[in-house]
This record gives sequence, structure tokens and C-alpha cells, in this order.
Amino acid sequence: MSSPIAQLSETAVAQQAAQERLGDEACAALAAQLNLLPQEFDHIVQSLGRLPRRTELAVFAGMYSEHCSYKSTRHLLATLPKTGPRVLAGPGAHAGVVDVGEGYAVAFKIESHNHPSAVEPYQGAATGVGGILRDIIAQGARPCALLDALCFGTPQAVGLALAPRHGPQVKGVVQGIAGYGNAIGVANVGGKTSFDRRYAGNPLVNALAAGLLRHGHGHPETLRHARAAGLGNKVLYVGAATGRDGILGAAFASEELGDNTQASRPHVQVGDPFAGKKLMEACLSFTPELGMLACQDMGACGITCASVEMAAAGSVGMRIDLQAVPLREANMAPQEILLSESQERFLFVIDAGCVSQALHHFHSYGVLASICGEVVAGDRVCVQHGNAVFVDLPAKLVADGFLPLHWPQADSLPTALPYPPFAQADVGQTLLQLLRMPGLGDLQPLTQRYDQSIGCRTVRGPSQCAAVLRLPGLQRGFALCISGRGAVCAADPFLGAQAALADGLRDLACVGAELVAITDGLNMASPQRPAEMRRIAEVIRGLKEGLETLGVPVTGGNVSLYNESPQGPIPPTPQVGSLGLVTDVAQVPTAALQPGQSLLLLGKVCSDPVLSTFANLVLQVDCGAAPHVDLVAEQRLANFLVGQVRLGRVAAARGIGRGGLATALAKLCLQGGCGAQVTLPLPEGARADWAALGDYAALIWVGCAPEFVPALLTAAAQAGVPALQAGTAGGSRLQIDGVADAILAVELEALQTAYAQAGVGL
Amino acid sequence: MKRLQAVVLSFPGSNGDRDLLEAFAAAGFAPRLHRAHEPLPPEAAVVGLPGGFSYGDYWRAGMLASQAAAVAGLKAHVAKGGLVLGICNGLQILVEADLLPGALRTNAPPGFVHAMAVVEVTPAAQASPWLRGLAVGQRLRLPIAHGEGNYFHPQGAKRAQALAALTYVHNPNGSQASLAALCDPTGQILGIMPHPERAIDSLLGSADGLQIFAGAYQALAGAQR
Repeated sequence: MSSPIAQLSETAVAQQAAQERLGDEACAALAAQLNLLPQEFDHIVQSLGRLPRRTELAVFAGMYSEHCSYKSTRHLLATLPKTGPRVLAGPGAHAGVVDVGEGYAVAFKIESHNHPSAVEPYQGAATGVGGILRDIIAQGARPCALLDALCFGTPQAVGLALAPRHGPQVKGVVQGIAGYGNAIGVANVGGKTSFDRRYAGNPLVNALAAGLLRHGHGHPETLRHARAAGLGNKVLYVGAATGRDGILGAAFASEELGDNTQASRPHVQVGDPFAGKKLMEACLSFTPELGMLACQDMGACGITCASVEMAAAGSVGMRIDLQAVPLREANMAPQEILLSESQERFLFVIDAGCVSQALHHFHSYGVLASICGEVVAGDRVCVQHGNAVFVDLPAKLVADGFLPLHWPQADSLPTALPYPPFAQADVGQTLLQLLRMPGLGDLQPLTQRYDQSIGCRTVRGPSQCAAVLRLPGLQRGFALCISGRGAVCAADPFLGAQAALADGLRDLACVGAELVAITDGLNMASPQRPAEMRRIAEVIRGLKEGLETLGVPVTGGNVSLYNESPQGPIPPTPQVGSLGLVTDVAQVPTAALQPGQSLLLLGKVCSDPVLSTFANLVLQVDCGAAPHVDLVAEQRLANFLVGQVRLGRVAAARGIGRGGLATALAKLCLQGGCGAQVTLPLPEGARADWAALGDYAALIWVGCAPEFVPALLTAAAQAGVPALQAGTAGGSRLQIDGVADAILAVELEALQTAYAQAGVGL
Repeated sequence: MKRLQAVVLSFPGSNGDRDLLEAFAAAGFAPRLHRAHEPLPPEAAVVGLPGGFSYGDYWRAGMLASQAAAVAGLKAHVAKGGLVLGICNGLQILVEADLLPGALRTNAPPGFVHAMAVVEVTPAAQASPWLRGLAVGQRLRLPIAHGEGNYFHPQGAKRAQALAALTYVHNPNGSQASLAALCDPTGQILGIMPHPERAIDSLLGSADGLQIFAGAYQALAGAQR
């Protein structure tokens, strides 16, 4: 299929080809200009036995960028546990794929789009969603759920105030996610939004997508891979025409954000959900019977990355002809075509005998498709424009041949400052203040912008502890949530990473789901500074040791480095996406209390002064030591709760997180529209404000029918889980008493008013 | 008896087509997808136009889709007693095709909104086989998910009120007379902004929508006997 857009003339191609060969000095200078390190340049020259061409250098610059190669972290990521009996595809695939039983598997992955969203919030977020959806589609799965983890500066810093109540950045990001997700028709079912001044110059936009595919139980295998194979088989370009958007976006994503970042806007891609939708349907229905052999999404570094990685994965060569690539803009140079990151494109390897039916298939969906190359003998990828050669490189050298970078790590990190002494806070007033905070208050004004029910899978959506989705026609389902707190990681990256795992485990347990795998989105600062590199290493060590304790694998994810701005680095922020199994969606507890329910507190009440939202709010500081994490106790607690849910004894549940016991209980009240009266036996000498509001882990509120209380308490004692019969739900006020004194008493109406005042709205 | 055929039109950009298929099946129909650029198949007893963003809705919502070959056949389909259901974008398409009166404007306040809405059955609903089984005043819980659902009738709110077969209990989008659904004069064409096809199972929040599909099935099955 010929493109209606003017191709570069033969003379111009010949002229460019003639300029491809550079002298020693010019070549080294261009390499430096493209941010290739001197040792990387030497490595390339040595491996090739010649100087690279001009276009080849650009290919190396893209593929050896941090974004594509993970060169600064790969040796650390290699230590993470990645396998398990349910894992069908792990890291290295487009997305992790996990067997969820009864003939279904879930593909899921989290990915960041931080830099583009900082520069162009709407398109950055929209293309982040589009990109992660294509990863799911590339595995052969039909996307069915989106979650997002967003971190913004404090409301003031992003221009968000109570009136007009929205900042352009928050608004742009939320509308971008909504604009793409709603139109392509994938339910947005959860996630989290946090606000911290340390994200003001560099917001974080992480999107998690999940999709369903058939597996086992006699179903034809729908899982796809990206290994090119079979000499003479054809390379099929599918989707949107290639334009000049996002050229070398991967390299842009591998730099810090500067004052002149606006000049980077041409690096940001533009999303088209309509094109994405047509492409999704065409690709999902493009089966092996129609000639489909291998599939890869064109993301970072576009056609270069897709072709090189597919050839390398299959240990074959590939020839690409740029003249056959559909173009959107006139006179695009070979280098521009190769490195464009235009959205909504896939590369397939198809059976040589199926060319016409494959082309017909895509054209019938209104999707561009063009044979742009073939699988050849050898191990080299050769890119030509007509007869002129622009790239002729060993696929593996480009795909995996980068030098791992072991940046020096600081010997130690500064320990977090302890809190100065302060007078006991009024628990009731502080609770209301906490509920007014944008990160803790009502997010419904944001989440109502997302279609949460399309696809008819959503059992639990946003505002619940975790999202729950049902498998088609079955009682069985799966749960997803995202956890990870930068503030805790800033205090202690190792403990912060473990706390993220614990939070995910707990949130899943609250919907009766058993954790089976995670995907990790690691958002970090520059690895070139020893303290930050140490933080990166500590986060990954925390995940590694935590996952080993839990016996849970990571099946994929993403590392985003250089999250810094003139305002400084972000706190290390791992966003852990947790996948859990639900055996019966009819048993899933809600996050809402009903009058008459008994309230149980699972876990141990604490009161030591650890890093806590309320203390930072009261003192207006960022300090406090990270709380201790005991994953063995967390797992015991989670397993116990999941077991009780499966016995049908649990009606409501909520894990304790930011804002402590009182905030979690207040949210259960707010969702249920009823009050609660509980009594907490405080430890000897414990301060009520710490006990009620401190951010302690390994604690869960449970609401149940009164007749189940004895059985729950007995089972908890047998399981070694501390459990306290704390009180009952009902009435129109939230009241928490100590053994002797009242800790707080607040009318439900006051809670509702505060919660609605969080000031997050569009 | 041969099962009643339901055809779900799929436009490029439709995204509620699979949900609608499931809802028709749950009510007893034999449903299948039909790509809207091809003429309407004659055997269909019911035609559904699903929600979504047909042709991206980059232009006025539903405008391009209203020109599709299958939509051109809807008038004849209704003339021979067939039923039509347009949901969300499907309603926008029916309005653009002049099969239902009025227009759907940007929500007031503006912005896409997702919520579980409560709608009430009006006396006008009794004219439609889709809704005849429901009691006047009965309330249904149905999800809404749209950015352009603000119904406008050029003759004003009075006319909209007369046409409304379902009304929102709390108007979410600024629609005249809180209109959530309306029918053509025959009652055979129902256009509805909320999503009954997503309310066919109480585990997912509501099963109230199933009554609308079941109503159509009973009306047609009764006529066939």
C-alpha cells in the first residue's frame, strides 16, 4: 500500500546516505551530543569493528537510553523473584501474564509517563494509557481494567486551590486518562492520587492496565510472543501513519526535567483513542489462522525497537524498507521514521503465505497495514530506504548489548529526623483536618470522570480498598490495587518498598483476594548521584527481600529515572500493582459499614511516634522514622482475613493506612452513611493521638454480622492474629473511647463536610 | 419456536457492543454483532445501537455514524414492527439520524460523568414495548457514563417532558425535564442515555436494566404467538 504523503526524493535519500559516514571526531562528537557515554561509544565501535553510521548512532542513543535499556538498574532488577506456578509470562514480555484459573489468565503491567505528563499533561497522560493498553494487547489479552497512580505537588504548588478548585496539571492529567480510557472503552477501576510538595516540579503519572485471555481448559492458546522466526516471513506494519511526534522520546524520558522543558514538547506524542480502538479490535482478532506469528507494540524508539527486539528474541535477521512505512508527514528523513514514537502502531511478523489475507483483515477495520520487511538469515537488522542502507547492525548488540552501568552508591543514607516533642493533638479536630487533605479526602470528583463500569466486569471500583473484576460468566474474579508511598521511602527506601508490598497485600485481603503477583513501577531520581543510586538499590532490595518472604513474583514493570526538576528530586516512589485471586465475587466485602454490624480490629494497636500524616500536618514538617514492616505478620493477617471472607463471615473491611485507625474507620462510616462506636484499650502510657491517628501497618477494621463475632475471634486466636471486638456500627456519630477517657466523638455530618472539602475537583 | 434475533450494530469506535450483546442474550434473544457499514440484515427482530465513541466522536457525537448503511435501514425495520434500542452514543446516533427528536448537548456542568443514576418510569413509557412491563413511578438504578447527555428539544422543556419515558431523579447533565430516555411515536424506538446493558447483574451493582430487555422480548414473543 503506497502512502499518499510525499516520500523523500531519491536524490535527497542519496544525499543523506552519503552523509551517513562520519569521520572519527565527528562521529564521537555526535555520539556525545546524543548523550551516549564515551565508554558506550567505544563499546559500539569495538563491537562493530567500524564507526557507526549517523543513523546507527541515533538508534544506539535511543536503544541504549535508560528508558529502553534499564542500564542503571538491570543488574538490581535481576535479583527480583520472577517465577511461580501461575506465571505464564514474566519480565521481558510486554506484560506479565498470570493464570487465574478456570481457563483464564490476566495480563497486567504498570508503566510511567512522568516526563511527558509534566510537559503536556493531557497528551502525556493519554498516551501513557494508550501505551500500556498496547502492551496488554500485544500479549493477546483484551484489556478490561485501568488503574492509575498519580502524584502531584501540594494543591498550592500546582495551582489547585479551593476556588477555582483545580490546577491545570491535575485537570490535564485526569482528563487525558479519561479521554483515552473512556473512548477506547476500558473501565477505570481504581488507583490512588497523592499530593506532596516534593512532586511539584515532576509529577508522577503511572498507569496500570489489565486484560483477560483464555488459557488452558482446552481453549486455543491466545498468549502471544514477540519472537521473529521463519526465513522469508514478512514484517507487517500496522496502525497509524508515522509522523514526527515523539522522536527520541525515550532519550527525553532519560533526562532530568529542566527549566526549558517546554522546548521538549515535540518529544511528546499525541494520542488518538479512536485509532487505538480500531487498532485494538483489528489486532485482537488477527489470529494465527490469519497468519499472525509474533507481535510487538511500537512504543519507545518506535519501529527501531520493535524490529531489533523481535529479531534479537528470535535470533534471526530482519530487513526493513522505510519506503514501505506509511507516513503522515512529507519528506521524513530515515532517522525520523526509525525513531518516531507516533502512537497506535504495532509490528507483526506474519506467515509469508498469508500476506493478502492479513492486509485485507486490517484494511477491513479501517487500519493501515503495509509489508515493510522480512525475516532474513543471519543476526543483523538492515534498514534501507530503497537501495540506500542506513542501518546494518547485529540485532542483539542493539537490543541487549548496552553496558550495564554500576553508578557509585553512597555508603549510607541520612536517617530521618525524629519528631520534636509536641503537645497531644485534639484527635477529633485533627481527624477532620486529615479528611480535608486532598490526598485523603474524597476523590470522587476526579474518579467520576472515568467510565468505571464499561465491559461489565467491575464488582468493586474506585473508592474501594482494591478493584475487583469478575471473569466472564463466572463467580471467580481477580483484584487489583496500587500501593507505594514516597514519603515513607524518603525516610527509608528499604522499609518504604516493603510497606508498599504490605499495603497491597492488606488492601487485597480487604476484598477477599489472595496476592499472587505484582508489577512494579519504580519512579526514582538521578542514578548518577550516589545518594539517589543508593535509594534505588535499597528500594529494589526491599522489594526483593519482601517478595521472597511472601513467596510472590514480580511479573513486569517499569523503571523511570531522572525524576528531578529545578525544585529537586522526587522521593523514591515505587508504585506496586498487586494482583489477587478472588474465588467468589459474591463474597467480596465492601468498604462501607451497615448499622448493626459488629466492628473488629485485627492487628495490634500501636502508639510509637513513627512517620505519620497527622504528625506532619500538626507540626507542618516532613520528618519521622519509617514504621517497621513485618511481612510475616502481614501475611498471617491477610491470609486469615481472606480465609474468613471465603467462609462468608466478613461484610466490610478496610486496612489502616495514612491517618491511622480513626481515619480508616471514618471512611468506613462515610461510605456506609452510618456512625460507629468503638473502644480501644490503649497500651500503658500511650498517647491517644498517636494510637488513633498514627500511620501503623498490619491493622484492619472488619465489620461483620454480630453472630459471626465468636467464630471470628476463635479463628483469629488459632491463626495467631490479634483481634479485638471493638464496638458496633450505627447511629449518626463516630465515637472512639479509650478504656477510661473519650478519644474522639465527631458527628457523621461533620465528617461528610470535611471529606467533601478536600478540594480536589475538575 | 425460532429464537428472536437481536442485532447489535458495531460502528468503528463503538465500545458498548459486547455488553449489549450479553444483555440481549440474558433476556433470551439470539444476538449477534453486525458491522454498521453493511445493510441491516432482514431477519432481525431487534436492533441495538451501543454506546461508545463512534468515529471517535471528534465531530458532533453520532453525526458520522448516523450516515451508516445499517442506520438507513432502521425506518423500514420499524415499519414492519421491529424494535430499536439506542443507548448513550446509540441515542445520539438515533437523534442525528432524525429517528428521534431533539439533540444531546454537552453536559451542564460540563465534563464526562460516571455514576449510578436513579431513573423513574413516566406515564409516557406505557406506549413502548420496551418499558410497558414497568410500573409508572417505578425507579431503576442504571449506570450513566457520558459527556454529552444533556437533552434539548427545540420546542422547549414542556415538549421534552411529554416525550420523556424515563426521567432522572437527580438530573446529572442538565437535560430538559430531566429526560433520561425517550421513544418515537410508535414506541418501538427507545433512546436511552443511561446504560441498562450494564445493569443486568446485582453483583455488579444493579440488575434493573434487565427488565427493559426482558420487556422487549416478552412483547415480541407475545406478538409471535
